[in-house]
Amino acid sequence: MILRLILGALVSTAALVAAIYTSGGTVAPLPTAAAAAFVVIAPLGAALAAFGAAGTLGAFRSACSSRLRSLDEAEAGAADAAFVLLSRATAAAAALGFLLIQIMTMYDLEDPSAIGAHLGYSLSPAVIGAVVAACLYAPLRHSISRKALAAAFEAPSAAAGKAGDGSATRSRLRFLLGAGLALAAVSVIYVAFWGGRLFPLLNPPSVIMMLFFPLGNALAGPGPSGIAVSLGALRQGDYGSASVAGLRYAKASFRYLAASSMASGGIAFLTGAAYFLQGLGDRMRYGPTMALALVSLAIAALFSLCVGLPLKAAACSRLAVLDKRP
Amino acid sequence: MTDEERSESLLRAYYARRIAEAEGRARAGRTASIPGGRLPRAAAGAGRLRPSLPDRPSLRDRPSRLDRPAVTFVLAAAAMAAMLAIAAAPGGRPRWSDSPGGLIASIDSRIGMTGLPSALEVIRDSLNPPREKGASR
Repeated sequence: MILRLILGALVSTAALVAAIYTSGGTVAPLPTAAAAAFVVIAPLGAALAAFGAAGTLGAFRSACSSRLRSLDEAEAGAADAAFVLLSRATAAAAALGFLLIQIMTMYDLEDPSAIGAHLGYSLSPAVIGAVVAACLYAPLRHSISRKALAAAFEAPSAAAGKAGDGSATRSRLRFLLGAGLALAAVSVIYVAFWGGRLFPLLNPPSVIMMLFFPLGNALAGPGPSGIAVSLGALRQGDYGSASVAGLRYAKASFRYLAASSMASGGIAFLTGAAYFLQGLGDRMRYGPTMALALVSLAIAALFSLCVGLPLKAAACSRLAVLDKRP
Repeated sequence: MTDEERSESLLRAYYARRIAEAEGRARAGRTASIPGGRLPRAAAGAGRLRPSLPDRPSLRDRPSRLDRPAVTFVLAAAAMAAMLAIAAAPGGRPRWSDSPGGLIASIDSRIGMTGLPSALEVIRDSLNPPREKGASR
């Protein structure tokens, strides 16, 4: 888990940095490190106040243990509460950082050229906080649910391929056709309104951000085995042989992937907005920064519409059917 | 036999059964957990429990083949390489502002830099039509 977490966070962070550089921006290490320290240390203080050092470390230990063993309910609940608090405290710290930098800006109002830079920098705690929550606390929380539903990983994988092949094929076909229809609708309307320009959706910084940031999150969270188990549970759910634990895990896993994609869009939007504000007055910077913000968010919404929401809803519906079965 | 002795004897038998079950599960490659505490150790002293049993990873504890470090490394390295390839590709830098057909030029041609103020003026004028000279109140 620790290796997947570190490599996943590395891929996601590298995606954000690459998106910033390809959109023409630069990252200032010292202010970034200061903002990062603030949004990491302040929430840890809140966690220490709530759970103490032993409770906070215990939550990290429960999530990072490499063994896929069942956590008991109390242990899973305590660890989950710790990561929920850390995520929310990170959001609060990001808001506080934004306000503090805005208040500092008020001392420099006599220099109009500094206002844009300060406004842009004030968004950095929010960007870094969202990255920390998406790359650290969300995967750790997912790891807790993975351990609590460890039975999902005991389902015989061979059964998914044997019985009900026709049903599984129909399910895949239905998913591909549905997602294709949604994609086609978006493309046709976009092309019709934008006079044939579909290319802007392939803006390289946005593609890097929206392809590799969620990929890093997926690696840190469910990982290849978790995704395989989730898809297997959906296939098995088609002919009623999925386990409740399998479908619950699939639901948690697809919810994680959909949230990760939307978080990537949000982070890209905030980053684009920050660099747009920093470059106020330089008209050549408007296009790349706006593109990073808007195109990335558009890709996130498109992914959510075509892939994230249907997969999560499919897991929910199969789980509802299974729960009602006597 | 006193009540306390009887109670301890029953507990000892219970834990011995649990430990035997755990050993059976571990032999079958399934999850094995044994209760801790004084009594089980006493049962272990009777030769029913091997000390190595709790540390033996069960089937459930083994990571999946897809979660092996090598697979994780390969995936992360492939992602980083693909990212670098996209960033370094010719035309990787966006051309929104500096190309005549870019997005900014297109926005300029459609709404223009004065588009928004003009639209606001139209709305303001429609809400408060300018009065003609000499119009009565």
